[in-house]
Amino acid sequence: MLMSRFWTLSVAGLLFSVGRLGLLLNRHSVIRVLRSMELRLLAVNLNFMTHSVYLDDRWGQVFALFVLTVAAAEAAVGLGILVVFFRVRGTMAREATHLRHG
Amino acid sequence: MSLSLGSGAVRSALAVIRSTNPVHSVLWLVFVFFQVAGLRLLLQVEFRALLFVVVYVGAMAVLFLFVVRRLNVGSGARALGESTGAIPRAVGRRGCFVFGLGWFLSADLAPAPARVGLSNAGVLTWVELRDGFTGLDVLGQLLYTHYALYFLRAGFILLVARVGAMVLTLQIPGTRAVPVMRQQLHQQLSRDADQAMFRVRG
Repeated sequence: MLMSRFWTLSVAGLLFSVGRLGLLLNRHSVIRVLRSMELRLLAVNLNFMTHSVYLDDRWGQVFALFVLTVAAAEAAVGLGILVVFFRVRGTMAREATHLRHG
Repeated sequence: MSLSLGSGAVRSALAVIRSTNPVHSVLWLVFVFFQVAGLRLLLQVEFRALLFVVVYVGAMAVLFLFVVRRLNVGSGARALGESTGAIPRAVGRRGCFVFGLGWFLSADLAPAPARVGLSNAGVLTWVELRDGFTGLDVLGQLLYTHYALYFLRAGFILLVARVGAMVLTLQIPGTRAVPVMRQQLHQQLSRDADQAMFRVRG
């Protein structure tokens, strides 16, 4: 017995909302922004998977695999940039990313 | 089961963005990953759930933990939304999003009782049992035939990301010197497509 698709879709939407909220409310730490991005990709992935199951179309699952790939690549490159950023600026603050001002 | 998994995932996600300790935050993120993997198990996509645990928890969360511990950014983190004044704006935008989502869901995805199949009624469908594929079979057949090009491109994306991450954090061996990569805006903006790609004659 499959569970209700509405519940899964609401969970995905809520996870996306939480990720977006973390992105909006966060001005201090770049790594938190990265974590919020991961949450959002997770929610999108869950959404694809749910629709793939309930619409009986496997392309959604294949696409979820590609989203997973891009999420992994984004985490690797993002954390690499973060390490360099910390080396150069000595802080993780998002305010320090404005290059033109200093 | 799905109720507790879903609400637990959302609550853990709230803890991810709210906790001031980065290590706790990453551990909450691992918890979210596990719960979403449980949701996928309930959706009967078992292989994807296991792959998800391997990739997210095994690779990404460990990477996050490694960077957090290495950069040692544990203390002195400010709480969420503190001294930004962004909370009302964010709540307003969130309200718009949730309203739109609810409207969309109720309008387009109304439950259709006609689509309930035999397998939901507790009856064995022998055709499915005889001729069905498992999820892994279907995925492999799709990935290696129809979507082989996309699969290769995904591999290239991973390769580029890996090389990029290595180049970014490269250290010259034997010395303590770290080549600092700064963004050169004029170089970046004055690139053009004709000179960006060229053939090496050899």
